[in-house]
Amino acid sequence: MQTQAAAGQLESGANGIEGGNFVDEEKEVRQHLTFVLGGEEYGFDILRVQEIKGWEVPTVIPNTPKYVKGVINLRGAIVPVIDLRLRFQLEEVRYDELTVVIVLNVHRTDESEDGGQNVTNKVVGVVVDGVSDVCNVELDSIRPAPDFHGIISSDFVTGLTTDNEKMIVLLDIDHLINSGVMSQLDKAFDN
Amino acid sequence: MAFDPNSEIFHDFLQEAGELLEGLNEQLVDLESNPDDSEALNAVFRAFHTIKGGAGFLELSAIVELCHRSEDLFGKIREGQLQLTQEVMDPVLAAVDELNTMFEALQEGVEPASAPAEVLQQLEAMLHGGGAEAAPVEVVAEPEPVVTETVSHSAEDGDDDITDDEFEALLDQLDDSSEGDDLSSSAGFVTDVLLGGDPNDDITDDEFDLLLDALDGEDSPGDVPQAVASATPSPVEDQVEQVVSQQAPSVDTAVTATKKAAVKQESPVVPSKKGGHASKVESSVRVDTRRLDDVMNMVGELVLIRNRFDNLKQSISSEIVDRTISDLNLLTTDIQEVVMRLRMQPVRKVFSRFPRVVRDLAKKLGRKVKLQLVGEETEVDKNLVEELADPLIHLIRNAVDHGIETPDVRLAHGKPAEGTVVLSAEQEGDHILLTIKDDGAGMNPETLRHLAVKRGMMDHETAMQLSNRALFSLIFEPGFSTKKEISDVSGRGVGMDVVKTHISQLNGQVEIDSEVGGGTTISIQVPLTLAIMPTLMVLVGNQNYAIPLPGIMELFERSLVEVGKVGGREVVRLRDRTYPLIYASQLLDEPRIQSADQRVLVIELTGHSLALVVDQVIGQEEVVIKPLGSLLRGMPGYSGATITGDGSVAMILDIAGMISKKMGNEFLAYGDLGEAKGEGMAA
Repeated sequence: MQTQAAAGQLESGANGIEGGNFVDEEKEVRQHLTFVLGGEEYGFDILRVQEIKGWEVPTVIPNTPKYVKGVINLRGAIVPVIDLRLRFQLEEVRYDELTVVIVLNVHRTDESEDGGQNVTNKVVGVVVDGVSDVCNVELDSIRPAPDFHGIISSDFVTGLTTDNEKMIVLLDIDHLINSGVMSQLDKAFDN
Repeated sequence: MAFDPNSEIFHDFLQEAGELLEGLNEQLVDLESNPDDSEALNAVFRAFHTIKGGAGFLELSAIVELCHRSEDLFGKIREGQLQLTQEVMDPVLAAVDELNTMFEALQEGVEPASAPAEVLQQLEAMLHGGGAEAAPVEVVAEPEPVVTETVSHSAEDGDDDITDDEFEALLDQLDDSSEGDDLSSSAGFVTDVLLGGDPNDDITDDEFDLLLDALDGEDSPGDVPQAVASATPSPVEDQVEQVVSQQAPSVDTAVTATKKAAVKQESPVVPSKKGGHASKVESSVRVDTRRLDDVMNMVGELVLIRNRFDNLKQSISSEIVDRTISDLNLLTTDIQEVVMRLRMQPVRKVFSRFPRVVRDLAKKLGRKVKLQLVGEETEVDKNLVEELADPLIHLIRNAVDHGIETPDVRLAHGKPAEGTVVLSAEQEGDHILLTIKDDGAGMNPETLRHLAVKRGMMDHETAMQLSNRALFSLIFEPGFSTKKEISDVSGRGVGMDVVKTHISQLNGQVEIDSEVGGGTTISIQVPLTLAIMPTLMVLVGNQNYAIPLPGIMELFERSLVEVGKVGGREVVRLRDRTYPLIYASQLLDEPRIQSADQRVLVIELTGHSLALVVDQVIGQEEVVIKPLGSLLRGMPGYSGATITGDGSVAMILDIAGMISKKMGNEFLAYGDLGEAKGEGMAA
């Protein structure tokens, strides 16, 4: 599973060349946005990050799970906001001036009726404790994640890397949102 | 012209022929029940012919072959050589299905393969002595030998063409023959028609096709009625037929022309009407629907900005600003309406596929069912037209499968063997009303009551309290099917609740009424458009919510409403009707408060009549419905979200869905207070 994900990372890394997102052929580099969640450092592929917003109180949607904070108006589009801290059962959740919403582009691949694949893009805001940095991650340096007991289940982790001796857990955005959040929501709506 | 899926001609062909094909199903089923309708017969013939023509130009031989045979078949039917029976219709419908498959292939940019041999063979079999062939050809009276000679001679002329001269010669000979006078006038007519339609001297098969078009009034609307006027009654025609029927194909065509003229004579109004049509200048433009959607979205944004200005108006008190804003208001409303119109399409687009559905289903189930379509020209938003197709198909299948009885049962009950399903559409203010009415067995409320208890949906006591209307509505609940055995048509119990969910997602409502032995009527109300909706903005807790205005019947101050109790539950009584009192705060997980601003909304929805307490009414607002995105789609209780005047997001509530989700059977336990007399109410 992890090796597959890493392979996927390599492939998409090849695309990154066009974006000038590399140093040389030996050391392909993907930029990641790192953020803090319950004291641990996590990273998202920066090409999927649309923008970072300060916390503003969203419109609450009653009768939805607690981790759905509601919806915000993002320049005319309605964007749902998910609190990852609540989704992964963190105890201490504060909303202050450091709390940010990372607006992500999530891809979802469905089998279309004629056997092809439909990729739909959706925009989701996720709440985290704070954004730390943008770091260059050499693809070679990504290690498959062991079965560790982090906040976020290792199912959604593409790999581990280090930046200045700090461990960063790289997350698979699509899998995290589609399976980690969506399927939970579907269950909640069905009840 | 080789096959090129990117050429413009190809796209025009797809569009045009696609529309014809869509109409064909309906026309064919029509024709089957009405075989003498010459107008319908011609329309079908023409449709095949036009598709064939276009396909021929694009060298799509598979389509040409299929259309050609179907066209021949209908040509024969038009000439009266073949009876239009169900045996004839089946292979034709199979051919149409095959054409549809080919079109799907074409739309994908793939050149379609030849039709399966059996489809072609069946058509061919019908074409060559499908049994019901009318016989005049065999009984040809001895024609004048001279005539035969001439005709044969002309046919052997190397090509099949008859030149004008030859034709004249033929006419002369006919003239000289014993049948003399009558024939000459008839033959003269034939020439008239031929010359009127096509100035060329040669009459080949292809040109004759053109001529047919001309007869339809597209090229020479003036000539046709004249020709019809000069056409002589049938005995002459028979004579011509007797003389020439076995001769060269070109002469056959002349006979067809006479026949055609005779057909026209039966309805002389048609050609002139058609002619009027043709002379009208084409004044429409085809627009990509995505562009229309873009325009609609932008108008939506404009409406939001207008709403914001409306809000601002209160803080800026200046007469000129006020006036400008009200001008803007008027204009936006106009634009909104015009754009909405742009996207309107007649419901015919959905309706046209139903006659075929009913026909096939009735045949399969051994029923006799007639489908009547009413108000096909009623226009609704394009998206809505598409969204309505599925629920309607479901309801119509249901009406045929569950509603209409088998012919012997019907006869035993003193009803005509053929059942009727009426599907009608009409506009009522800002919404559209669709009804599906059958004259079948109807539903027995007692059976439903019994089933509800048996299925564990409620206890016996609750069931006993339900009114007939509430019982009928039960069939829209999940897992409730009244059909005893499962058929592959319906009866799995998944259909009706899907219909209801679908309709309420469109902000519509379904209502059902039934009478044992008299049939069932299902009415669907949907808004004209999906993009903009009138709502009532209310405050619950500290958040604004939009409640769709259709369905809200009345509005009262909380303090003016008398609250009573029935079975421990709060109810209000208004003008002989009793409504359960529901707190919006309870539905929305907000603390219940008491305030002077509170209002009671009387809401009437399918199976859900209630009095809803909201904390404050802000006002009426036209809102633009924004999609919630795939993450939150399918969330029960909401039909969307919108952006309010101050730029924040407000959720649009689906009250019925919210109540089902939040209260479920508890709400049903209120019984149908609306029809109860409200006895024992503590005032």
